[in-house]
Amino acid sequence: MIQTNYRPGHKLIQRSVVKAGFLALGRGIESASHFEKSVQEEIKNWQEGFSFTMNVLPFGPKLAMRKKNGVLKMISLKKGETADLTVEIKNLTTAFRMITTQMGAHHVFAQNKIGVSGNIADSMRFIRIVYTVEAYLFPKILNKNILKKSPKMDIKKRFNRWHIYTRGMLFGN
Amino acid sequence: MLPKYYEFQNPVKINAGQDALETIPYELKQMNASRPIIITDKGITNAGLLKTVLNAFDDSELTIGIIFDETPPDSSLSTVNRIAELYRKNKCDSIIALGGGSPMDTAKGVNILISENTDDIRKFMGADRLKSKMQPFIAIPTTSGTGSEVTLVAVIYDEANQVKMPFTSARLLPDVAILDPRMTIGLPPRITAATGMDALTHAIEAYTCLQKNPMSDAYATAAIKLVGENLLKVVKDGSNKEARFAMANASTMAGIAFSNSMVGAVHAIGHACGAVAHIHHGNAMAILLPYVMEFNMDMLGNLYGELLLFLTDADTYTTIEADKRAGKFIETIKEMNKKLNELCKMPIKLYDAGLKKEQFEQVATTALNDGAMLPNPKELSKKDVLEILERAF
Ligand SMILES: [Fe+2]
Repeated sequence: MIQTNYRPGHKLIQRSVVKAGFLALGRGIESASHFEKSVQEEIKNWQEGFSFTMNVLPFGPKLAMRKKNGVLKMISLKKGETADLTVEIKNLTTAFRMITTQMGAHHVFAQNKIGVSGNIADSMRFIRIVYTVEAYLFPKILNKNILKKSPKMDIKKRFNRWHIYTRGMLFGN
Repeated sequence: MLPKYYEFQNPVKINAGQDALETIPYELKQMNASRPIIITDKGITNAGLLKTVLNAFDDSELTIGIIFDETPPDSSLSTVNRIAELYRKNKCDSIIALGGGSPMDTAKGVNILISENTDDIRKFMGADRLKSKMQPFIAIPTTSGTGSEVTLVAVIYDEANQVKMPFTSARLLPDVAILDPRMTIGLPPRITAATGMDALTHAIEAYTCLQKNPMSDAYATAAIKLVGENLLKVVKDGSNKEARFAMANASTMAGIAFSNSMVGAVHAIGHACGAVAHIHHGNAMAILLPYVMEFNMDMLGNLYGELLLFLTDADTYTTIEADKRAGKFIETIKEMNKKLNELCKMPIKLYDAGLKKEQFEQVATTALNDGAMLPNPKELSKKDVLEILERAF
């Protein structure tokens, strides 16, 4: 067979799962930035207006957030606008594995499937925030795959989790 | 156990051994280059190493466009900019880095400016930002430790904003690394010891951290074997050419291993000690290595145990029960440190290296924000780092 100009297809399911996952993660981060101490500690180091984005190459999905009034808000970046911290996942399948808890952020880094533009300390903060929120979003049995160490879920954390699942997912606070 | 997926890359040609320097004119010619710049520092000139390198160009058709020996101890943005300007003005067409980490990083920075045809290197900060064909680049290490001649990273200090800018790209890798025993023969014992322990740390962390893979394992274990056999020898007798050459090989192999596998918590905390208290990188590695290994022990014990075979010998390895090997491995490193301390006063406690108790807090916070924390398989909290510092103090 000789075929020219073959156009590759699309991974529609992976794309929609990642899209939904990014939305949940974004809402979770928004919500956690209102009440979760460790997340607030991390954000303290960022100036008001600091922005970060996590993109899947080459054309998304994208999650962009900005610090506004001391908490994190999901935003969409304007065309040509670059965030203070850009984290790029090199392909859709990797993002899919991350979002479906088959791989932790540290594994994705270890496999060199993520690229960072910006300050290293900021990207470490970003990863810690993602860890914290993932610990809320997923039950412990799934967390084992994606966190180096699962946090203990005390009463307060259980309440926080419930908060994220209800108000957080709907309103982001 | 093999990783599910990994990446490994080392395109650097290695010319190693007797008269290795003499191969440079041919290598440059192969890359269509005829006017190299040599980037080095005053220490190298004063030690007579520059002269040895220049002699290697005798009877070649090349002209050395510029010899620059004013690289500061920490590669800086202003120096990189200045050299790039000289490079353009004098129509150089290739780069030779001669020295330890700083001239290497500086040369990589110059390569970015020239190849990307820019005046602002900051635009290329981060991972995989370089897209252009690079200038022919030859690296001649004069210490056996950093492994910069085979690593894809450069760190350049921005004095104005007081930040260290990291650049990582396979394009930063030199085309050729020259390991010539003449380049390390005069290295003072203390630097030999500290840089040697840095190389050992690169190999151990490459072998035990999250990105480990069969390719980097091969380099890491071979490096550990050479360090085990030669480091004490070469600190005792710096003129031992064979041992010097072995250490140069160990350092380069460890560099290939960690350039692909990354380093872990020893480096994260060590970088922080450097940033906060200006502790020499190699010294920090030597001091912290055993204590961080003790911390990692419950997760990495079996891997440390495997490494005992390479650091000691088959007889020792087999006479020790399997579950005691990791402990013996750490103990062996502590003994090495002690001997190095006796031989050349290399500090083996953080206090002796100049860290103050008041600085612990800052070291711990800085360490947690270091990229090397990520590949460390065991999670470290601030409290963990503080405890490690306490024990190593
Ligand atoms: Fe190092």
